[in-house]
Amino acid sequence: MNTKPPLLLVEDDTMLGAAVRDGLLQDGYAVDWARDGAMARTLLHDHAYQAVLLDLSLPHESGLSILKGLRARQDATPVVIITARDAVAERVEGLDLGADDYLVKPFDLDELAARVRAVMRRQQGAVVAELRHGRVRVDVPRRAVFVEDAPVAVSAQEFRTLWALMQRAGRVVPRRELEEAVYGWNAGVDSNALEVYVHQLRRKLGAELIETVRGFGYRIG
Amino acid sequence: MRPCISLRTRVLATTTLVCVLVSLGWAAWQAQRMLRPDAGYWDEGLAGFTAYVMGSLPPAALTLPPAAPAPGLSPSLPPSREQDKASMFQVWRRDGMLMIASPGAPQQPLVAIGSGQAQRFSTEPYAGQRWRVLVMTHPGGRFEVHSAKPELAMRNDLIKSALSAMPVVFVLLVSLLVGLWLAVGWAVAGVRGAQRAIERRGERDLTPIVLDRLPVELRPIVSAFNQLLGRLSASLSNEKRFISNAAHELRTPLAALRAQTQVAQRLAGEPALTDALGKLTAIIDRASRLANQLLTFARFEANAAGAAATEALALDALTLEAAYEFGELARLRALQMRVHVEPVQVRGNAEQMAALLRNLIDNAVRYTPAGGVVLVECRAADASATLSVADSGPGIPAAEHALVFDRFYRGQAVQASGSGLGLSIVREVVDRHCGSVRLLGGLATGGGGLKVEVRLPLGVAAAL
Repeated sequence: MNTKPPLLLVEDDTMLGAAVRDGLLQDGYAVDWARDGAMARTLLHDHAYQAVLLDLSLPHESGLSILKGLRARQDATPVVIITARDAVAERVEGLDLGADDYLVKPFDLDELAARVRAVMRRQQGAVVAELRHGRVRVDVPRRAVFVEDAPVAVSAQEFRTLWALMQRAGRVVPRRELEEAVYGWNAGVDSNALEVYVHQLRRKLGAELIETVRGFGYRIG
Repeated sequence: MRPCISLRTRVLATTTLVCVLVSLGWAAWQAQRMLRPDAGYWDEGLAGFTAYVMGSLPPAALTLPPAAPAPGLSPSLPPSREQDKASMFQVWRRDGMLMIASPGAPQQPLVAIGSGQAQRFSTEPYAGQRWRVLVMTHPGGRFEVHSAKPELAMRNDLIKSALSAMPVVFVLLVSLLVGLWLAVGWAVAGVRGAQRAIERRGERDLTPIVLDRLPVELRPIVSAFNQLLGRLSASLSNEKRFISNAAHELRTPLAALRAQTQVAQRLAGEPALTDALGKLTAIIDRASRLANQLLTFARFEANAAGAAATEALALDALTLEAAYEFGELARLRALQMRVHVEPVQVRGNAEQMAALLRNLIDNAVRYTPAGGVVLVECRAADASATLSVADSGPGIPAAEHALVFDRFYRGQAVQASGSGLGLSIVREVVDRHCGSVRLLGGLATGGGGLKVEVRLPLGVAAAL
């Protein structure tokens, strides 16, 4: 079995952790398994992982604080969070804190593998807290957007769309890539979400900011 | 059961009774004071009259020699005071000569002359009635003034003075009762305020009633009520904590079971075994779904205490998230899932709204056969937000439309692994957000399939 890059699984439940680890091993990944937050922190500090699978409901330390710590160190390792189905707020907060995707329990192992592949494929470079383009400035920790230092209210969706485009400034971003960056793994859904949020962003930040490349995607700059 | 007497009636009746008793007591005391011999109001009045007569005697009468007649001195001293009108007097010389008498006074003494006492009261009969008589001896000892007043006149005085006090007492009593009526009404308004505060609260509101504006007397009752609410709220939050823990404890092993089954399935190799494990996975999915839905319901019940927070929700974002959650399942079932959203704001609870969306989309994805279409829409139209999920599945016969929102109701021809809870969760959330839900024809050819349409008020605070 050819070994794929190492993943870190952070899961406190022994049975679920073992099953997920076995599944990932079957897919050919090397897996380190941290059963609590402290071990996860140590492993993240000492090793470079290709991706992290992070259960948010850990006994002593919230998975969100591990994620926050990771991003605070400018570590851009892709993170897929695993949450309970009804923990909407937690999931949204996770994405705002810089998680790349999420899965709700119970999940399909094939879907998990697909999502891990997707986040690794679109992995960005370094984590930055702020990006500027022309008159527009995006402040990630505060989730704020400014036009010439005047704050502009944007929804979470609009923010994620803008941020994904800013990170890829200067090149045309295909629709599918942009959708994945905003919504995570999204095979099987055909939505008008990008049109809606790009439209809103143009209305709020100026029509010239985002350019439509017909039949392909969008571009900033 | 004892008759229910209003506070107002009690207060007014008690006050009236007390006022009447006090008035009667006061009147009786006054009468007793008036009637007291020698020192009473009557006798003092008579004494005053007598002293007045004595002080008013013409000096000529006093300087007459003993035994001389007293011509031309009578009558004089017309009684000037109102209460003296019925009175009469005689001025006797010690030798028994009548010197002056009021008009109508007899020429004989009513009592014997020459008692020698400075002042003596007695009651004597004369002219068919009883008279109160006072004999007062002149300081020089040469004269006696006899004055008398009929007891009947004195009684009439008493009644007259009592009657003259009546209007004042009456006005006082009426003003007191009106004042009390208003005061009781005002005091009771405090009770009404508390009553309204309790009536107005939603069935899920367990926050304490604010005591600031309540009358002090009501506070003990309301604060006892608040303590009861507090205990209820504590027990509900215990229950909520239990449910939340149960959710975690139940779902994690199911998730583990599912993953492990899949690991086994990948290893199996033998088609029959792979098939069996695939069926096992489907069964686990169904159990997980049921567990999730039951826990959703349990949370609704626990949130019946008003703990569910409302906030401004971007319905479009929630719709997209819910749809993307089912993207993979739709792909595996070879369904075409299309989502069309417009930016729409509603007020509500994010978890409940997400549960509504998940159950709508989950039903559509689960019941629509492979190759079908699921269309999820979120729009704003005429002051309401419209969410709809349409599919090209088998639909629901019109006869069952009214029933499918009942818990655990399962259609006659259902083949998929429904629990019968999905639509009742939808109905529950819609009700809590003051919305409405209806079933329409879907996307299958000839109007087949199902479309569930939910309308919610735009940005209006929901009573959760």
